[in-house]
Amino acid sequence: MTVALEAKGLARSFGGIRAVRGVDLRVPEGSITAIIGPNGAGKTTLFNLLTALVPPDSGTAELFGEPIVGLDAAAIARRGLVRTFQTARVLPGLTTLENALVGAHRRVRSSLAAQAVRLGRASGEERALAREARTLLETVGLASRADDAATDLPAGSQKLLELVRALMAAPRVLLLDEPAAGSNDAEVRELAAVLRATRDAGITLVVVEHNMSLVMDLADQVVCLDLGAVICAGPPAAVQADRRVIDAYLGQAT
Amino acid sequence: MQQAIEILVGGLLSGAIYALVALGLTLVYRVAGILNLAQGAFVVLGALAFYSLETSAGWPIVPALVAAAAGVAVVAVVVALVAVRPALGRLSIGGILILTAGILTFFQGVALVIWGSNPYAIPAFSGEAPIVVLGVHVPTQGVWIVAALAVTDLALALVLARTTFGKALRACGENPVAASLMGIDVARMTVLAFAVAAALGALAGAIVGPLTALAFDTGSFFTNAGFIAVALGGIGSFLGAIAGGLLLGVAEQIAAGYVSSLFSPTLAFVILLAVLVLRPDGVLGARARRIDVPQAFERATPVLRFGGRGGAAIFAVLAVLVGVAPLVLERTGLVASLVIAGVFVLALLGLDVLMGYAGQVSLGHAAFMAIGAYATALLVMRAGLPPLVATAAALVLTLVVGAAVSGVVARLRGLYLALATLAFGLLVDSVLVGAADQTGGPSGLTGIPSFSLGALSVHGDVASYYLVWIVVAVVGVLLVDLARSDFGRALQAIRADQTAARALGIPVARYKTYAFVIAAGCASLAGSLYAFDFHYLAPDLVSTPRSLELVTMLVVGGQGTLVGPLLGAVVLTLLPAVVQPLAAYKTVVEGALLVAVLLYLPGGLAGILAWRPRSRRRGALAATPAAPR
Ligand SMILES: Nc1ncnc2c1ncn2[C@@H]1O[C@H](COP(=O)(O)OP(=O)(O)O)[C@@H](O)[C@H]1O
Ligand SMILES: [Mg+2]
Repeated sequence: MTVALEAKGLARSFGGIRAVRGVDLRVPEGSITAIIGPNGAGKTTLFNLLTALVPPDSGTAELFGEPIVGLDAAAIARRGLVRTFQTARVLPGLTTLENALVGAHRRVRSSLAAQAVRLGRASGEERALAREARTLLETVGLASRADDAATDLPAGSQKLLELVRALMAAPRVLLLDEPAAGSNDAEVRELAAVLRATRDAGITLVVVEHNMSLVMDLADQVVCLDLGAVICAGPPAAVQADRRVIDAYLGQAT
Repeated sequence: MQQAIEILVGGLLSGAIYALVALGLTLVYRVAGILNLAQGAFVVLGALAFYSLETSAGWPIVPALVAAAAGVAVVAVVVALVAVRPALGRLSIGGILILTAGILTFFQGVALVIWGSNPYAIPAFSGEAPIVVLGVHVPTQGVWIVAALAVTDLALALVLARTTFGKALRACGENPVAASLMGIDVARMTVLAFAVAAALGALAGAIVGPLTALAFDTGSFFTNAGFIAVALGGIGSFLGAIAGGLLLGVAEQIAAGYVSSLFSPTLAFVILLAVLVLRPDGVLGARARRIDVPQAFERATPVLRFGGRGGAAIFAVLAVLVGVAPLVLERTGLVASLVIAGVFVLALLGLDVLMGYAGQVSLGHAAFMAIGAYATALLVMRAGLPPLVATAAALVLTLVVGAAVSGVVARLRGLYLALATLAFGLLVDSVLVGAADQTGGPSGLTGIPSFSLGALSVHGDVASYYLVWIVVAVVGVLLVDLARSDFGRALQAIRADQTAARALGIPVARYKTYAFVIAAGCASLAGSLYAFDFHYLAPDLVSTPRSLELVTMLVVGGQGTLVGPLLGAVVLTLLPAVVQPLAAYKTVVEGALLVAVLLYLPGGLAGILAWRPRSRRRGALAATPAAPR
C-alpha cells in the first residue's frame, strides 16, 4: 500500500489557542479518509497546515514520500495536493466555466507565447479543458449556468463549483472541507456519487464532514479530532461506536 | 554653521507646511481609511482664494484667511457628500484612491478655469525683510507658518481629546464597526473630517503662498509632499504626520543645499520608496493599523465579456473603422489626435492587464512610457541607432526596470502598492528633470526624428497613424488571446482571491511580475511611438499627471476587457479635439468623468457594450436565507 499523504506531529497555536497539537495522519492512496470532530476541533487548521496557507509551528508532512512542509501553497498544489474551503471561495469576476478552468492551471502545458498566439497546441488544450469542465459541470448539475457569473450561484452550487474546480486540477490528493454543508438530501446523494467516482478514478480523498451518514457511507477510515488532537482513528463503524468520540460531540452539545 | 542653521530653518518651515497637509490626510485616513489625494487641491484652492480676497479685493489678512479656509471647507463638504460618501462601502480602497485622484484632477481643472494657468505670488504677510536672529536670516512668513502649525496642532489635539467629535472620530479610526454599532455615523464623520482637513489644507496654502509660486496644478505637489510625510511618519498617526512633514522638509533642504537642487526631489522619492517597501509602519513605526481596510482593488467585479457573435461583430466593425478613419478624416486634422489616441491605447492595454486583470493598481504607469520614450529618443539622437533597434533596446530596458519594480513592490497590496507605484512615477519624473544634461531637463528634448526602417520613413499624420494602429492591433490581438487563456484566468484569480489562487497552484508573485512586465512593455512601445510621432519630449508629457490621466482613461473606458482601453483613450483624446469649446475644460471634464464612472458605471463605457451573463435566479436568491455554515 502506498501512503499518499502522511503528517507527523503537526502543531500550530494561535496566541494561546493550541488549534492543532501534534496530529499524525496516514492516508493510503486511493482511499477516502473522513475527518470528524466538533466545531473548533482544528480540522480546517489541519488542512491549512497541509496546504501551507498557515505555516506549522512544528511537525512534518509528506506527499507520496516527498516532504511538503516549507514549500509555498502554490508549489504544494502544483504537486497535486489540492483543497476546497469550508466557505466556498468562488472567484468573483469570472463565469462558472472560467472558475472551473482556473482549477486546471496546474495542468496547462502551453507556454505563454503559445497562449498569446493561440498556436495549435494552446487552442487544442484550451478546447479540451473547456470540454472537460463542461462535462464535470454537467455531472453536478451546473452546465446550464456555465456562462453565468459564478458569484450569482446559490451557496450550495458554489460549493459544488469549487469541487469541480478542484477536480479540474486532476489532483493526486484532494482535501474537501465540509463539502456537504448546506446541501439537502438529494444533493448529498449526488455528492456521494461524485466522490465515489473520484476515488474510483484513483484520486485519494480526505474529507472533513459532519454528515455522519455520508461519512459512514463513504469513508474507508475515519479520524476524529478534538481540541486539536486525534482522539480516535480506524474503520468507520469502530470510530462511530467509540466512547471518546461520543463524549467529544456530547461535550460540545452542553 | 550659519548656513547650516539657515538650511535647517528653511527645512523646518517647508516641513511645517507639509505637516499641515499631512495632518489633513491623516484626519481623513483615521476616520474613513482612505488617503485623500485631493488634499493638495484644497491647499491650492485655499491659496488662490486667499489671493483673490486679500491681494485682489484688499481684505485684511486674518479675515481673508478665515474666509478662504471656510470657503474651501464648504467645497470639501460638497465633494464629500457628492463623491466620497456614496463610494464608501461600494468601492475598494484602491478604487477610492483613484476617485480622490479624480477629485484632484477636477479641482485643478476648476482652478485653471477660474485663475488661469499663470503662477501667482502672494506678498508676504508682514513685509519682505527677513528677521535676523543671531546672524541667522528667517523670513517673516516663517513666524506665520510656525504660528499656524502650533495653533492648528493645539486645536486639533484639544478637539481630539476633549470633544465628542474627537471621541467619535477616534472610535471610527480604531474600530469602525463598533463605532457604527455605538450609533456613530461613520459617513457623516467622514464628511466632517473632509471639511476640517480641507480647512487645514487651505490655511497651509494661504500661509505658504508667499514662499512659493502657486499655480492651478501645484495641488499635486502638495498632495505628494503630504503623502510622503504621512508615509515617513507612519500612515494614520497624527504625531507621525507632523514628524514626517518636518523630516521631509529638512531632508529636502539639506539635499538641495549640499547635493544638488535638481536631485533633491529624487532623493526624497528614493527615501519614500524605501520606507514604503522596507518600513511600511513609517520610520517612526507609528502607523495606526486599521484592520478593516479592504485590500482588494474592486469589491464587486462585474463579469463583462465580448465573446460570441456579438463580440465578433463589434470587432469587425472596429477593424473597419480603424482602417478607414484616416481616409475619411484626413482634412479634419483629427488624424493627429487619433495617432496620440493610438499611443494611449497601447499604453492602456498594458495597464489593463495589470489593473483590470491582475488587480494591481498602478499610479505610475506613465513612468514606463517615459523610460521607453526617452531611451528611444536618446539612443537615436545621441548614439545614432536605427529607430527600430533603439525601440527594441528601450523596450528591453523598460522590461528590466518593470521586473525590478515589480520585485520591489511585490509584497505590497492595496493602498501601499498604489502609493509605491505613485512614488516610483514621481522618482522617474524627478530624474527626467534632474538629469538635464541628458534629458534636456524641464524644457525637454527637441528634434527627435521620425520612425524609419531602412529607406522607408514614416512621415506625416496618416503614415504615423497606420504605424501606431498596426502596433496597437498586433499587441491587442496577442493580449486578447493571452487574456482568454489560462494566463488571463490566473491573473483574474489573483485579483479576485489570492489565497484561492495560491491554493490552486498559481504562483502569485511570478504572475504579478508577468503582469507588471507586460504593462511596462506596452508603455515602453507607446513611449517610443510617441517620441517618433511628436518629435519632442518633456517630463510633463509622460509624468505623474499623465499616469493619472491613463488611469482615468482606463476606468472611463472600462477595466478588465481590453476593449476599455480603446474606448477610453479614443473618447477622452478626441472629445476636446472635436468639441473645441471643451478644450479649456478638458481637465475638469476628465476629473468629473472619472468620479462619475467610478461611482455609477462600474464597467465603464465597455460595460455598456459588453455582453453580461444573465443572472436568472437573482430575484429568487434574494429571498432565500443564507445557508448555515
Ligand atoms: N487564523 C486563526 N487565528 C486565530 N485562531 C484561529 C485561526 N484559525 C483557527 N483558529 C482557532 O483554532 C481553533 C480550531 O479552528 P478550526 O481549525 O477552524 O476548527 P474546525 O475546522 O475543526 O471547526 C479554533 O479555536 C479557532 O478559533
Ligand atoms: Mg472548519
